Amino acid sequence: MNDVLMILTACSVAIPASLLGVLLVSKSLVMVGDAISHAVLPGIVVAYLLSGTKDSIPMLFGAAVTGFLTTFLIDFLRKKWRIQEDAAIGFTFTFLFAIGVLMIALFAGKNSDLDQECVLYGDLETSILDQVIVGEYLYGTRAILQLLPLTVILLLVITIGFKGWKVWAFNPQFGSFVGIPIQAFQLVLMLLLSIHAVLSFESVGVILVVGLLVLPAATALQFSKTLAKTFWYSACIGIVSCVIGVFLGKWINISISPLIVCVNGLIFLISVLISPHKKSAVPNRI
Amino acid sequence: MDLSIWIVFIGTALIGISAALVGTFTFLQKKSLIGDAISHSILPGIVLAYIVSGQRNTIILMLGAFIAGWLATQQISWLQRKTKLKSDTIVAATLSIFFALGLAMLSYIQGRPDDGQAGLSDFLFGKIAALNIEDLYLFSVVSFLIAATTFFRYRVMFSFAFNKEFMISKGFSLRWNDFILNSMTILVVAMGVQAVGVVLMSALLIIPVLTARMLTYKLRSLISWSLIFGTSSSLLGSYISILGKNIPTGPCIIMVLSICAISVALLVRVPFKRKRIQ
Repeated sequence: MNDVLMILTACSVAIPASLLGVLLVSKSLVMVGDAISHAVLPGIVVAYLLSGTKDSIPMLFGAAVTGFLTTFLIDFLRKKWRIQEDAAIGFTFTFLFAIGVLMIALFAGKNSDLDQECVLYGDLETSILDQVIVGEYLYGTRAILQLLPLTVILLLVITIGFKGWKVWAFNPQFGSFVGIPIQAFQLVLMLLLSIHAVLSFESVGVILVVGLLVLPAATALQFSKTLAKTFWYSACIGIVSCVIGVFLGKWINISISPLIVCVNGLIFLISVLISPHKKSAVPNRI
Repeated sequence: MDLSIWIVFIGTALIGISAALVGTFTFLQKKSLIGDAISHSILPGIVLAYIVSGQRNTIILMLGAFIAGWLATQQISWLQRKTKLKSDTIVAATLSIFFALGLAMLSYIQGRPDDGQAGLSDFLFGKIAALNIEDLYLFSVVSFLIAATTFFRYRVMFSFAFNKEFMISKGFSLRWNDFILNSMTILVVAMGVQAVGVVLMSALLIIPVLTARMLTYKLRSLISWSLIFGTSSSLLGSYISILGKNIPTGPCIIMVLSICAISVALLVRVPFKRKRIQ
């Protein structure tokens, strides 16, 4: 039973991550995604300090604010201060992350349940202990129940706006020419990304999220030729590596969330070796 | 002041100097995030060195870190040759694979009964107070190596940053220079993680030169300004973290650096200067 719960929890983190990752990879916004997943930390800490609990509503709010703040700051540094993009990203997320860590060290106290290690590593094994039981029936863990709505919303957003996403990712000039609100698509993506980061940090930690975002999508791109197929492949790879990771972790008795990312990485490296798309081939079509 | 405080100050100063020097060149190559990738990727090397040697010996840890960082840069360039993925995807993929490997190994150590890994989790956030005098000798050697390389190869690195075609036409090898820059980055990161930790090391590479870049457009003064900012803020940051009871060193240094950068930006008001570098 615990294995099933663990796999379900891991999948509920990995499926939205791998879907978001496809969008990030195809627009080459991966490092922005990485920056957001680091930068939600001060939002989480402020929400925790203000509300006093790890309740999700204030945290979601905090994460949304810091997520927007990150994208805004990166844009601001690039456009107003004329700093090249990589340095702008590096500055923004290290700055925000340092604020978060300092706030934990100064205010959160020794015996609170928010410490540096838990935020960094995340812990799938303890996150499944947080179960929601209503009248004898086990409905699932808190992580699953929180991430399920996000997954549904994400699926709706992707399917409804599929053509929009395509235009956004591959030909934004055309999009703004025909009147598609390209900027709004970007903001929606960043909002979903920061919500995902805050909901999953207890299970996988803020740094490993980027692995779950980028690796399935990068693997899927080795085989697929269309955006829709990339979404399918990416989600499947995310699920498969969760299952393998959970059983491997049980078997050699080490922490599961890094193992899931390792399995993902292994699949990615193998896929590069056996990929039918070589560098010299014709460019990928959407 | 007693010896340990001097060790801390000299150690942070050395880290600040070498990080600012190397950071200038990675910034000019627009490869600042490679520093981020390397700083995450050396974690498995450190942990493996710890497992093999069984103690926290800085030379062995740095050796492990160097090998892991070198493997990471090799993986990045291999993926760049082999796949059509964009470079940010490749960097993020490499970073997360290595970091996850490091965390998995770390949890393996923590599961073992003979756990003496208390000093090891300091690598994630840095603990400058853990430095001792042998570390300081090693740091001096590494910083001297980096400074000497920059000094004697200044012209080559200048053209490597601004005009690669010119450099190749003069008969210098692109891969060799790339290798030198990468090795310097790895060495700095391996040295700096002890003070500021894995996660925030990239800031020490990026922020000083970013601040200096707002003040000047010449390479020589860029280097000098970033040295000034890097060194002084690392000193100030570590001083504050020693004064306070429970303040981790890394975030403290980064905060000082960021405040420095923000105040410089407000002072010079970059938007009104329309000149470009080069």
